[in-house]
Amino acid sequence: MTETAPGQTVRDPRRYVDKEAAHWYPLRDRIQKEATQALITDELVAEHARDPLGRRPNFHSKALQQVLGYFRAHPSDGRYVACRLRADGRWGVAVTRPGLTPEQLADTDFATLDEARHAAFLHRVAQLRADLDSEDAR
Amino acid sequence: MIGNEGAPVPVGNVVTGGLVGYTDRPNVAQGTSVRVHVAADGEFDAALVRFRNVNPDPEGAGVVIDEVRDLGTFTGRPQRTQAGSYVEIAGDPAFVPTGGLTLHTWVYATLPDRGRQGVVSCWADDSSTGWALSVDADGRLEWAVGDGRDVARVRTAAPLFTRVWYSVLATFDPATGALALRTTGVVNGYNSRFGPVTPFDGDDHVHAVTTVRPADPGTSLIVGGIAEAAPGHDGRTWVTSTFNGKIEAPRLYARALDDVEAADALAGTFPAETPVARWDFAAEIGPDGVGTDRITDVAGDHHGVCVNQPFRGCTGHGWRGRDDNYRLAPDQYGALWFHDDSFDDCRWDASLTVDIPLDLPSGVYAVRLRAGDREDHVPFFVVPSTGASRARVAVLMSTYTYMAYGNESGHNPFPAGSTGVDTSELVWAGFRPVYDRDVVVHGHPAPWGLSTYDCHADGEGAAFVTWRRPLLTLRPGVMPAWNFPADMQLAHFLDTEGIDYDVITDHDVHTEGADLLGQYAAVCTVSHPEYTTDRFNDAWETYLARGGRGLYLGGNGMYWVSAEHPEKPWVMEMRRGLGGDGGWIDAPGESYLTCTGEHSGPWRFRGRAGFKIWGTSYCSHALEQGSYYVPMPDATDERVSWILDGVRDRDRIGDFGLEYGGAAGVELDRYDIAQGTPPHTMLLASSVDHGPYAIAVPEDSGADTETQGDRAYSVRADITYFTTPGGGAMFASSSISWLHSIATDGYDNDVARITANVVRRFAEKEPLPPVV
Repeated sequence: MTETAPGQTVRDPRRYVDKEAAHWYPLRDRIQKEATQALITDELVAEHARDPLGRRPNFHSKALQQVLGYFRAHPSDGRYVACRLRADGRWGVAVTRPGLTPEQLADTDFATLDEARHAAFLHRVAQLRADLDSEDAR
Repeated sequence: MIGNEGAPVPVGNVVTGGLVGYTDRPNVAQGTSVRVHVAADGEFDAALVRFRNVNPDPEGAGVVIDEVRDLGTFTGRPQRTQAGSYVEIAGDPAFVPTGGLTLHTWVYATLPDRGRQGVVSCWADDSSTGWALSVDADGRLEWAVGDGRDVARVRTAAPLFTRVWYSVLATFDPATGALALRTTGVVNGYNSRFGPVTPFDGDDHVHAVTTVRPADPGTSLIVGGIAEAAPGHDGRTWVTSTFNGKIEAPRLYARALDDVEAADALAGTFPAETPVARWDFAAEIGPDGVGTDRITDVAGDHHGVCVNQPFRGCTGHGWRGRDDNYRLAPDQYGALWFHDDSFDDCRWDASLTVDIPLDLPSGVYAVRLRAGDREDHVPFFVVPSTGASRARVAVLMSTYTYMAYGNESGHNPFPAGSTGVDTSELVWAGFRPVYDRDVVVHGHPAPWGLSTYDCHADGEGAAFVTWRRPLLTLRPGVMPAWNFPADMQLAHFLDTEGIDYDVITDHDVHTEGADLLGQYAAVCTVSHPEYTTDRFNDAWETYLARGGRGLYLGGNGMYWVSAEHPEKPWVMEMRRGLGGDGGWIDAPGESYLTCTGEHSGPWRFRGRAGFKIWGTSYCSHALEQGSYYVPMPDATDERVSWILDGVRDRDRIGDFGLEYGGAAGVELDRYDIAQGTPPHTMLLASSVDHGPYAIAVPEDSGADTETQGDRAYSVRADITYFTTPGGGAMFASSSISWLHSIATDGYDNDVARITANVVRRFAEKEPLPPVV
């Protein structure tokens, strides 16, 4: 049996990264982003505005299900969500950040939860477009 | 209390002011008293009130609260909460021997990069006195001694690998001033994150020579943290830098082992001499589990106590994987698993005691606190006194479920630095809202604690929840209005109908069993009796078999095997096993409840799901979605057709509701003969038209099975009825949304009519004729 030399051992976790997150995830996310972006049309946005939860009888189309499925699994970092943080009971949009409490965005003020949900959806749509543009620019 | 949006989420002990409180227990019998623990900025007024309805939905009855009596004005003050689990052993000069010291333990860190964390310490942090083995800010092991003025320390070269066992030996020799820290990795094919194929080398040996001699800190010895200081005027040892991960079998010697002994000890062979102390965390394991806070020093009498509920019965460094039950191989289950965000009791000083008169009607009450523009309601349940005359009907409030969901939110901020790539929102359509309550909870981990849907910071599921904390999900006006607000609509409906009832709780049924249920002609569950104990299920089974009558007016009921802590009835344990519709699964080898020794997870995997007792059980989560029922052939059977008497829309039963537009929604249960639904069960109606966001539970689906409600056969709610021996019967509506829909149109609707039909008939003395 051959002894393993000290320099050939696994000793320091700082040398290793989680390549699923660091290497695979960006590739997978790029594929998902492009596939999701291709589904976003004015009609799809209008469908979401009609009923953000796809309640009976407005069940969401397969395309909207797929778009929402991508957004739903988006990392918590920078996730836009509907929120009700004020005493007046009105709704807004918040963005979540790692290790921080959610913060309501300025100029988001809605009477209903569904309006806020759709506004958060529009933020996510815009973010998706911006992310793709940013990645293309790089 | 809002105003901390965007602020970093703090870790550790917190001081709570404002105005908020909790009671010492959920169920309070008439003729007894209840302690109320309040954190306040100053003086506050208190009054006893009765909750009639707490759902703020303007389409329902609205919030209705009756004032019962003024309780007076009280002096309040902010209260501090100890966060994080640890073991405390009363201090002893023997822990700081003058002739030298050796500390050995096994360590499995789950968040070594979380910042400084105590492993084993006899140390006063305010004066840097004593000795401490800890994880430093860089994730490396550190061994330090301090005399109150100077500190000497050595650190390992590399941080610890996450979820890997290390054997750790720390020594101090006053004769030479040698301070040494040795480690070696202890990896087998089962015990750690990776196995022997990894060329892992956890060996290290660092040392220094110092003139510092550790002095007695006057503190307790802490496993899993570091004492802030010697006990102050409150007599308590407050602990900081609590640990995340497992620690096993710490032992102390009153001398420094020599190099040969140290090498042997690192490998698990120890000197023959009796150590100063050796704490065996498996010593309390017995046939009924390990439901105690007691810790035994098997070498002497330095026994200790667990604080804030570290997990017991955890796999240790020697786990070989063959036995997955701590009762079968306790020697392989000697680890405690600590978390810096766990607690079992806020331990606030009591602020007032409220006497509950014998003649106070059973019901849902609260102590209302007011100070300036601040207000809080601290709820509890007044149950009949022993020997009290009983109503014909009992409403069984789901106190276990309330604890499980306590302060739950879908938006836990994942720790800074983690990837966050594997998170998903709970609701399939996404965009679950964030409420002000969530921001409060996220802004200060303690004293709000975790729900069973949360994970601890290291990703391990939160298996223990406590009543002894402010439960913001049990306040009037809480949104979304499911669980408690929906349940109160049943109580308010019965009030409206003039049906007399008593309120009882899960805790009472667990304690008093079928004898309690048997005092009622009919017992109604509320909307979501999800978490149940073996004794709770026994009680229902016996009650029904003796002629009792039950109404299961909810969904996802009798689903998770749960346990009440035998020493702390305000603490509930649940583990999720390795399957089912939950937020996490158990760590390998840790699927047995520590409080009872039972296998955890869904009851279905134990052969005793709600199907067998209530007729239906959980099949789909249809969060924020609702639909309606259509009659099945049995609906016209003259033996049971009375149940649907007066129903106006027989084509679409329950096609309405306050929040979700249908009485079959949120979570659904179904009739399943294969899983134990009694064969003579009458299937009265089944829900249809569930969309793609109603999802089949994992145990009904697989990689090759349709799971979405527009295609999966199993996604539905079934209204069922069966009779039991002795004139008893069981009715199930099988949906959480049922009690959301009951309040539509001022309780003038088909859901209300069906419920009233069954409650009134079940409340009669006349036996129900067998339908077999």
